[in-house]
Amino acid sequence: MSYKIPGRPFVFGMTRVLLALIALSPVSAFAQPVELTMWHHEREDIQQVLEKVAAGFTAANKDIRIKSSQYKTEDLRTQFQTAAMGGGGADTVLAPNDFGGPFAVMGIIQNVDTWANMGRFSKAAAAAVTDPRGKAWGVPVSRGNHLMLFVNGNIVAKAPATVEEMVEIARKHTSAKDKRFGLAYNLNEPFWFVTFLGAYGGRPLVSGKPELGSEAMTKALALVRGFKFDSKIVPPDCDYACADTLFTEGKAAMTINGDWAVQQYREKFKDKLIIAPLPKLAATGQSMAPMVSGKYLFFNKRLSGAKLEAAKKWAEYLVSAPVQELLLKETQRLPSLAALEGAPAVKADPVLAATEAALANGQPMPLDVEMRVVWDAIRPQLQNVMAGRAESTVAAATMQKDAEVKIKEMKQ
Amino acid sequence: MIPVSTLADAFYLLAATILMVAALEFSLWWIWTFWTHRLFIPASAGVGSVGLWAAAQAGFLASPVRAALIGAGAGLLAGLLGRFAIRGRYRLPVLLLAPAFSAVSLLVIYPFVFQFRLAFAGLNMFTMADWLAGGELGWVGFRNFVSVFTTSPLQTISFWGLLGRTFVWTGVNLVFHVGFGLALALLLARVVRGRGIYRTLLVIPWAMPQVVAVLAWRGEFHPQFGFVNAFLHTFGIPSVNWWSDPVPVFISCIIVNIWLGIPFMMIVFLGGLQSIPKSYYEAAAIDGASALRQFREITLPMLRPVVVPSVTLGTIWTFNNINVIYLMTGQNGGNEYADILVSALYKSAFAYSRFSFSAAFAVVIFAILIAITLIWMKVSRGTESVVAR
Repeated sequence: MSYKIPGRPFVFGMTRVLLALIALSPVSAFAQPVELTMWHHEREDIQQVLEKVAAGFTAANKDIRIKSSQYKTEDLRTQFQTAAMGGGGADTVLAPNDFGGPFAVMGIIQNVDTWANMGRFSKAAAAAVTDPRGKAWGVPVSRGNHLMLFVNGNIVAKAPATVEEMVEIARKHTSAKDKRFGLAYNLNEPFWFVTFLGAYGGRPLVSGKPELGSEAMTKALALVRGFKFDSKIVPPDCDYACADTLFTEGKAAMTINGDWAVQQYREKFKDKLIIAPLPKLAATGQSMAPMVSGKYLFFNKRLSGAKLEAAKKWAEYLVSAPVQELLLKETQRLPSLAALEGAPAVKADPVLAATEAALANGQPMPLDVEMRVVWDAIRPQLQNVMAGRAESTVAAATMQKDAEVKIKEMKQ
Repeated sequence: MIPVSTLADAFYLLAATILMVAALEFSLWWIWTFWTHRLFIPASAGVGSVGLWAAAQAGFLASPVRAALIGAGAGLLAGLLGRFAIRGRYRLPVLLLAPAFSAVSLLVIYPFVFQFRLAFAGLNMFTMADWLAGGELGWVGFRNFVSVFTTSPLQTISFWGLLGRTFVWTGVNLVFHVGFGLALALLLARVVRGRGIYRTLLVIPWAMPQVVAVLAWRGEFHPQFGFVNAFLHTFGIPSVNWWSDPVPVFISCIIVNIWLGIPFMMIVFLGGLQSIPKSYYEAAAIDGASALRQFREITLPMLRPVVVPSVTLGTIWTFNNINVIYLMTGQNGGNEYADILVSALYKSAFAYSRFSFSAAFAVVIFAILIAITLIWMKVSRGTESVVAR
């Protein structure tokens, strides 16, 4: 049996199509404006604000368009990481500073200190994205991303000043039978837990090394364990959604949440919302210390030429004073510019003033890649303690050992 | 309006694809036209070498010298295959299949081969920058494979712990999927009125997007406010910490996956049942065979060609099911009490960025799955026909 191979007309036809495609491609590339992609993990309402800002930018720069895409937090990190490793991914990423550490080590973003004037930003905002060699890896867009105490003014008239006072107030407003609680927060999540560690003077990572087996850690674990088993002021097992729902529905008098929730709670509680810095622990005289970072614009390593110039323009636009003021007004997030620290718009607004005050006791979120391991070492032991399966001292020692082993393995 | 860069990229991709397919078709034409020529094999090596060198010069590949060497090797291999294996046969089918084969090569075969290569390298978060800057992947021998068996892919649980849990996960799920799937199929096969409605209702878990279904279930397993604990309370059973106690976390994942997996088996078995001729049962009934005997002697053997592939598929899917565990345990960064091999693999690659370790881990999982499938095919005699037995 024989078959006929496609003849010359087929080959000529295909060649013509190919030449036409090649000829058309550069024409269309030059004829159109530059499109800059930006991936982020913002909520729907914040995304709308960003789109509004992007529209303003395009109006001022007719040849540049911003196309933003929203991801879940973990997806944003893994998707960008995977795509950028293959030479793709978004041109820019708007994310918290701790994304920058791994991205920088992996060589998938570029440093910005060669062209961005980092001196104009708040010291804390700039420090949170600068590595020990002095290289800055992102442009600060907002300050904060920190946890605060939110109080339902309909239930509690005044925010507690100390942890002990917070427990007392919470005890009064807890009724397990009615499923009402004095305090609700993301019990098993280390980002929430380390605020209590700070009240004992502890820090999870110091100079790139885990500090989890400390006495401060043992005491902090015992404290949060007591919330569940002794004073019983928190729901027995509560994640972010649970705490958020209980507080929004008025079934929790107080909650610990981040600056990203300010807008939402403000709309819900109006003038009955009380925001306060996380309280001080009277026993140590030290305040609970939330992790502080903010949102930063990171630049894909492969960006160059016209696209890089467009990305720089976009960054400059985002941190210009009018846009920063707009973002403050519409997103309730503190601006990154040093000139706007304690700005009249912040001072005049009790909620924003409280948000800024809450920053004062914060600890900068480390940029180190080891932080990821530290979070994952704390989490299972924190869960064990909160489930009554482990003693605080044992849990602290175990998390230190786990973190050391994992950091070593990660570098192999 | 289509954005500019997208349009330009689309043109570029289309042109590159057409060029690749054209190169492949040219290679095949070359093989079938000149395979009997005495200089065919060295000429093939030469053409391959020049072809890839030209591609490198045009900017498609990094190093022209290396490209030329790889091209010569590929050409030599193609020449040997053309002369001694293909021998001028199957022209048209192969020419027609070539575009699809090139797509499969790009999307499946290349990543698969690269994964093997990666398993012997030392790529992680700290070496990634050097590699991206044009450095070598390097060779570390079997170090990653040793690490797979001696270190934890997650925080504490070992490979062997994960393997045991994966077997439990796969076994329990399959027993329930097949058991309930067959029972429901047998019931539906007998129902005449309203069969379509029942079938639609029973297929809902399968038709629903998995993310939606699993997250809804996660809510139902909430220790404080979920339906499951509320239901247990009515029998005086105290609350179970479905979210944070090791065993309940795993059980909750299994329950959800059982719920999700039954409809597929039910539909497949129902199809199989409907294809068994009624006359077999009528003849058996005339001979006085009981319902149980009919099931054992007619239904089960006749269903075997359907059961074997569906159980094989079910085993592979369940063994590789990351969605349910990922979503039920609080996604990336949640607890590791329900993690199985594949979810641990995902976390080791994307949470800890241990790329070469994860590649070795994936190779090990692949080998396990191949072994299970081969044993199962052998034991079940699934590739044999019913008549042949």
